[in-house]
Amino acid sequence: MKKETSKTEGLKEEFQPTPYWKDILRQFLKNKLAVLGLIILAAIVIICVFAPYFTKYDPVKDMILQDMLLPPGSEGHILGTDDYGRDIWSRLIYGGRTSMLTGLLVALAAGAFGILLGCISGYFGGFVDTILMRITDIMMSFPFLIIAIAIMAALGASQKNVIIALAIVSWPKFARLTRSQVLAVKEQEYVEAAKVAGFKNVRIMLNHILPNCIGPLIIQITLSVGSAILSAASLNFLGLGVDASLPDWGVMLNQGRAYIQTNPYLTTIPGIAISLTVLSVNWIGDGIRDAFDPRLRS
Amino acid sequence: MSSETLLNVKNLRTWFNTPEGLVKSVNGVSFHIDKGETLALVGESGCGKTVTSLSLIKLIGSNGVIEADELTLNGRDIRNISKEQARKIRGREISMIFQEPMTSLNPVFKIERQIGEMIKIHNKGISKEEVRKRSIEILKKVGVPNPEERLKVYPHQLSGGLRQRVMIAISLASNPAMVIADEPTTALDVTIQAQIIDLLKELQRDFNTSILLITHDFGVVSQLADRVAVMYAGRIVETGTLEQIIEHPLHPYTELLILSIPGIKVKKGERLKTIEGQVPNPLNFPDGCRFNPRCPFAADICRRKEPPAVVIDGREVSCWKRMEEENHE
Repeated sequence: MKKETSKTEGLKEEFQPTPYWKDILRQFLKNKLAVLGLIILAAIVIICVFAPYFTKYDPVKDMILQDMLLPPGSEGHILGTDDYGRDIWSRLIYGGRTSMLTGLLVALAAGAFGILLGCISGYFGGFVDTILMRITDIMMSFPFLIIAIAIMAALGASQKNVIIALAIVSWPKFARLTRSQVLAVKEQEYVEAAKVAGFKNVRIMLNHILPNCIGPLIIQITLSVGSAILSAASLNFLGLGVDASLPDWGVMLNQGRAYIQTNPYLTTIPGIAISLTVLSVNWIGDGIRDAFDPRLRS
Repeated sequence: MSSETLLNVKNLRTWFNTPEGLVKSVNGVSFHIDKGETLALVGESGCGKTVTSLSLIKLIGSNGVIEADELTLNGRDIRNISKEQARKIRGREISMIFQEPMTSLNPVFKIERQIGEMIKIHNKGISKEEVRKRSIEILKKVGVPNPEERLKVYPHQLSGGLRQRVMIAISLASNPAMVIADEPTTALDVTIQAQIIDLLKELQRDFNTSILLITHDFGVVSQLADRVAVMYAGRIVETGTLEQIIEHPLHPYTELLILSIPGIKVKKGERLKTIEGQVPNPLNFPDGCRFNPRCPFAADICRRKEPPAVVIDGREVSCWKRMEEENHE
């Protein structure tokens, strides 16, 4: 015993283990595309959050009809104006707030619900599992957009309802993924050890199993943000989402539709904004996935 | 030797309903463990050792049924306790050390949290500093060098031996009356094995904990156990003190088991014996004595009737051959 003590003390100086999260971060930063995505997204988020500092126009009220349909690059309007003479840049960055908030909230709400259900399903198994998984199957068997539209029709158009509708259609993915993770983790000996230690089921589930499944779930949440932004834009484009006067990328696309031949920038600009955001989110998601996967490490 | 009895098991039966049929994994196992004593449950893979131990703390699958004529812990009948009561026994009164120190610690938490959780759960309202103090204390006791620093590392940063020490620390953190050690040294290399065995002995002296040692390794048994119960195909075939079992095994299975490992009875240069055949399928145990297809002494009666447990020379054995010899003398 004495010998071992002195040996480890000698090693202490050099033995500086990298913490798990630092290691993940290092792997993530090695991925150039993911870092690029992070930079783009950070820029978009900063501009949208601090939108009032980046434009002098109000996205709704500042309608100057004589300045309508100015092309990008016009004086005072970098990206031009829309058919009501509103500044497109201002609408774009205010609209980004709605889009991104929707994406984030949908991912979090769907994630929380889906993860909880998946956890219960995977941990208890048997009858509970069968019931929960069949409900999940039923949810997944509906065409995504159709059911979202149906829910929107029932709830009425508002941003809150867009979030609710999209959360309802997106949770099954999380439930499935969590269940499969829990099924694998609950066979581990440390879970058995926790049971032997006399811990309660809820504690084992949330404190011992879930933290071991978190990697793939974070990836799924990240990727969901992207797809929720797209879906919200689709709903808004169809006129089922937020109020048409509110700035939103989907709404802007819809408004530009009438001018697609004469003034194509009305649709191109919000389109690029959506694509760029979703693309950067997906790059980040891929980067996180690779960072979590030890097999992809060189 | 025989002081106060901690655990008394009589005719324990653990059966599982499977799609293939009823599996009688444990079928009529009886033993007792005194306070501060080590009982080794020895047998080959699949003979029901682990199921026996898990039955004691009611941790078997939902398709399993546990029955017993008697099952007392500290004089308390624990046959028909609720799930909640069983949960409270686990960890507090009976804890467990697992075979695989590599996988028995949760990889995403630091050691501090894993030991601390055990202490916190079993001592309600304990302060953070107190938890920390006790964690360090217990790590010191199990011989982990630099315990303050080890609290801050993750399991993968520790060696196998250290991890097993941490596991032992966790299982002792609640000061249980009994520890089930399920092959505690199998996954470790030989030098570490010896250290862990010494540690277990030492801790048993200090804490007066009873140990139910589950193993197939007679080497470990001979170093740690006070008494030995040899299990075969869901039954205990022979029980006795360590010396009795090693020096004068009564059951042919025990004898062959000891002759199949080097160092205890088999001298250098001698050939090791093997036990022909394999453990019978629990769905379809042979009639009569379950060891009869592999037993070199199997007689007619062995194939027809199951031998009862009889006391010979102050210890129990279930074997027709021994009974006959005894009757002739």
